Amino acid sequence: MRIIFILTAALLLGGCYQNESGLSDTLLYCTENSPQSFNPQISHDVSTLDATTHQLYNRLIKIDPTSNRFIPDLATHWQESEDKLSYTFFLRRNVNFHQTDYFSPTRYFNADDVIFSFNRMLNKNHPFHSVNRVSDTFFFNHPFTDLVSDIIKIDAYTVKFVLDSPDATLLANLAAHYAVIHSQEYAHTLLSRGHPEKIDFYPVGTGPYKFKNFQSSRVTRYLAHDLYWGEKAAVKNLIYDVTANNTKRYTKLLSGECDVITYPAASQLSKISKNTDVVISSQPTANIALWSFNTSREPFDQVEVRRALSNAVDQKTIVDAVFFESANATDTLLAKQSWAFNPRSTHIDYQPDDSLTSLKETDYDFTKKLTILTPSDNSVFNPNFHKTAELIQANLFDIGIDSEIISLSHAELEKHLLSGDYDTFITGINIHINDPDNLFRPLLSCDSTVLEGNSSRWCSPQVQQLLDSTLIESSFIKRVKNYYQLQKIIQEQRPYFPIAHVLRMDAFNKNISGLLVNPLTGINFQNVRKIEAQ
Amino acid sequence: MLINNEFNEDKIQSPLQYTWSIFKKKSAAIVSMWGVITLIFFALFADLIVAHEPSTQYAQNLLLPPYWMEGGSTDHILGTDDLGRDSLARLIQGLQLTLGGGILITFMISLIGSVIGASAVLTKGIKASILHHLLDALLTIPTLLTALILIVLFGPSYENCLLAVSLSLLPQFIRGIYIAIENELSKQYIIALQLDGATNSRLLRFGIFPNIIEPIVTLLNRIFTMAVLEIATLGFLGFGTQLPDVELGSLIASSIDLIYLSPWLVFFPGIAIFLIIIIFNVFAEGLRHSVIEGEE
Amino acid sequence: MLKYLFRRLNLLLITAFILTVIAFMLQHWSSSSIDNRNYFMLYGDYMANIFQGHWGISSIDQRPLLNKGLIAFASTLELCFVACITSIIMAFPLGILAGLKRNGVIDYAIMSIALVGLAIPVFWLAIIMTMLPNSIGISLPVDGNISLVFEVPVISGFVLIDSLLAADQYQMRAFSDRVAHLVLPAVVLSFFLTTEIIRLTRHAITMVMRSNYIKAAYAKGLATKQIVLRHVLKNALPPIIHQIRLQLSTIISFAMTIEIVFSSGGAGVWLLTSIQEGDYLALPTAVLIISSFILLSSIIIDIVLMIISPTKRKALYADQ
Repeated sequence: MRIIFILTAALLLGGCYQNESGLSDTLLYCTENSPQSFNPQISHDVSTLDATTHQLYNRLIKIDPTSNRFIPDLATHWQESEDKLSYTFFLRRNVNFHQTDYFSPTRYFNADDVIFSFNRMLNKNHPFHSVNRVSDTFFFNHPFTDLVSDIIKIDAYTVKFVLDSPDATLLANLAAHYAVIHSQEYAHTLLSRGHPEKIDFYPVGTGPYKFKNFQSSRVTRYLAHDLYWGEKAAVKNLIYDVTANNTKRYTKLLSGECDVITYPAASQLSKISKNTDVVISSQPTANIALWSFNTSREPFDQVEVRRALSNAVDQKTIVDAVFFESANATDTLLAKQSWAFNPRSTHIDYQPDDSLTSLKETDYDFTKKLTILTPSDNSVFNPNFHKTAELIQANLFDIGIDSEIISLSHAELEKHLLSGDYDTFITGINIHINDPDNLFRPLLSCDSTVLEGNSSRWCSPQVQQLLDSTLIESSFIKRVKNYYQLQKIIQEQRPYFPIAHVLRMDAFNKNISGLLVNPLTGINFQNVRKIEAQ
Repeated sequence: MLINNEFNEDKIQSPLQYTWSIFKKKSAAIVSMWGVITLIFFALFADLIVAHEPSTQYAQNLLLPPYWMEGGSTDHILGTDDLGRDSLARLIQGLQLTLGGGILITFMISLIGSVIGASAVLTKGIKASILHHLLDALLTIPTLLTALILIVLFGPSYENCLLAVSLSLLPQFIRGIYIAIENELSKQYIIALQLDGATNSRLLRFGIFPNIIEPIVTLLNRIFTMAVLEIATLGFLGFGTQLPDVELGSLIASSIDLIYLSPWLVFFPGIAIFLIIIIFNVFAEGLRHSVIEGEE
Repeated sequence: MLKYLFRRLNLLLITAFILTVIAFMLQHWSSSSIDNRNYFMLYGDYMANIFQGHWGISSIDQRPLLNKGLIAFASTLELCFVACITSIIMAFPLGILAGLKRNGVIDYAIMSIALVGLAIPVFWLAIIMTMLPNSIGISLPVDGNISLVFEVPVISGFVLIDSLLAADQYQMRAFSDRVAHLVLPAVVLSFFLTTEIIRLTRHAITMVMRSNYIKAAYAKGLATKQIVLRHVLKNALPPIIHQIRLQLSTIISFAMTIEIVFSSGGAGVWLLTSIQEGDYLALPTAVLIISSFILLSSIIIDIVLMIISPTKRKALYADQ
């Protein structure tokens, strides 16, 4: 009786209640994590990119999403010198920086801002170079910091980038997420106030949205930049909300509490795709889920053991059960869409019987318990580590190997990884830049630590030599050749068992249009329009 | 006086038999009793009953629905989970820990609580006062908070979860039994017994205890209900049983991501908890009524 | 009267002392600082800090823990309060009806519903409720305290009040949005509370109806309705309130669990995230805030009970 009563009351209220996010000038984007900072120069995680690159900042040039050509952004046009050692950029005039509670710009954007933004990354003596610096390696994007030798101001609206040697990747680098333009005037104000660290947390840029506030590490609010130089954003209030649980995110999308959600639950994709009110955007990425073998430890230092174990694992079931339709099963570290992808890769077959035979040939000690280390929190490259581990455990059990899953939270996990006390580790890697070096170096270089990605503790002189020489190689054909060779070696040696390349997924209500998602630089709300909910 | 032994033998039963004879007549009570027996039997002999190992993965049968739905199979009556494990087997494994924990807690609390409660009534003065204040302090800390404290101190585990639930329920039981005994103590037959020179233990055993069975049944039922609910709640929040063990609450938590795809993985453990509590409550209610009617 | 108040105060002080010792031990353990002074000195320092309002700083966002804790707990209280009101409105009449018609068909029907309500785990019901609006096609929010569209400044900590205070900015929109956000969590908590109140009311009414003065009232020829209104309610109320008082901590526990499922920013979510992020100092803060709330309200309830029920007052005098 009273249940009916409560429900009637709830229904009545529900009937009268008009969801506030139905307003067409407000858009709610529900994300997985909060951004590490508001500066993509120093934070390369997906959440930071989604929150900053396209919303708060502009770059000198950008890539057209349809034609894949470089198009003007803050630079109206540019010239390449005859010797290919310098590039001159002509800057846009009358570009306003954000006017916020904490900063009022007195001048337009000019060459000083370009020089400031890049020198922070390139010049080790720059006053902002070490501000908010949390790690020594890969803090600023690494290949880029060695690329440019000097940036010269020709006049207030002309800058010249000078290179040591010709490098075709400069334009691609300038269109990457870390090449955003900050305000030099704001930086100077912060220095004089004695709080240079605020530059990365109270951002000022030229983008279509400006920063309003960041609340209790969960909610970020942006306002449309009313003096934006280009077409102004149609949605006035842009709100980012961290909802860590992916089921909850989808529930909120359905209830209208989110307009756009990132990474809907992998297990729900088939259900979501049947819902005609929701649109799914999916983009292939180079992010990969891996199972790594600790090659510094017996018996995983033997290639036969690593190969045998890879053949014992049923990759298809893992992809079906854990990733559903949110990833593509893969046999290679590099994604298919990369220019360096070696198409002649061998398929890793699921052959438990062969695996058992070859393990017996290597005198594998079946009495020993194998450890499978997993992070307890899920990540963009694996929606459920524990489930993956359980599936691998069952596969190993079938060939007579007993295993133990050790699931650890972040801090504990790092300690464990550094100590080297593990047999295998379920992990993955998040790729920020479309260059093979960005994938291979963290995973395979002798200089790369376990925390940077080399969880197999792999170190081979041959691979290292290939990595280093390819980086400075200017001939494109040579580079491709080198990477082909590298992939061949890794395929044979198998320090990692590749599981799947994950897709970047976003879902949004169908009253949203104009949303662009770039798997490398993040989501773009600039042209988004929202039709008022009925 | 003429005593007809044969006639009397038919008539006079021990209180226990008498209560049972009343209990027998209540159909709901009898059904619930068989329910209780079945549940305990399931929990004790889970391994013998289920057709599948709870941890075996049937990779070709991921996320099967229950057999009566389209696509279901009679091999897995309640379907399978996202790793292809049999839902029924996991449900019964979960039942073991949830129900087992509930019964264990009720048993331990009734032992410890009775001793403390009884001695608190019979001793006056400073000792009783300290006990009261300590109980008052414990009563003011919510269960969830007690559990969080223990978990932060000792790490999450099934044992700590049981301990936290016990700590939060013990004061309630002691309170209840204290009041019940005190009510009896003021009655005249007790005073008569005391005047007879009965020792405290004798007083409790023969004087008070038989007369407070009814409130004790109510109290124990209450403790059991709350224990099951709280064990499941802590399990759901991830502070109880740790993987690979499962408990009904943690079973719900691990299936929550699948609620749109296969909602029955969330429904069944909830219904199981629901059934446990309903069956035990009806049983306790039947028992209580029989005791009351027996007394009258 | 004074003597009674004094005894309650005494109880309050001793219980509060035990609680601060527990909080101190937790604090001492979680800050893990090495200090060679004895525990009495450290406890003294700790208490001095507590009284000055220095409860420590959250390691997550460097805000004072006391402030964070109070705001979080206020939102939990708000949920409890709303759920209590709705449950009382629904449960009282049902409980009285069941108590008056004891062992009748209506009684069995009401008690069966109450049993069903008790047996449903709150967190499970909360999960089902988050799915409900979408499946039956109504629009109700399932997450958070209030829509993020509104930036309601924290003044009292109670979002209902704060959203009313922000009326000049948002009119009543913020307030109605807050109410909508409360509906589902409050319904879930009410399920449990209603069950409890029905059970307690029925029991209390039965007890009162058996007593001699009611029989006397019947003998006087009063109608049932009059008896209930004039005598039964007045005498049944104190034991009901007393029992609810004992269940405050359970109610708050359940409210925190519900908040976690609905991710409303209350004490439950605050503690959970603090522990996950390693900010263990939140625990002693929560112990002190929540326990002192329960303690204080218990004592206030005791005093109120004593004022409204003369028999209880007499019993207390005689007891000593």
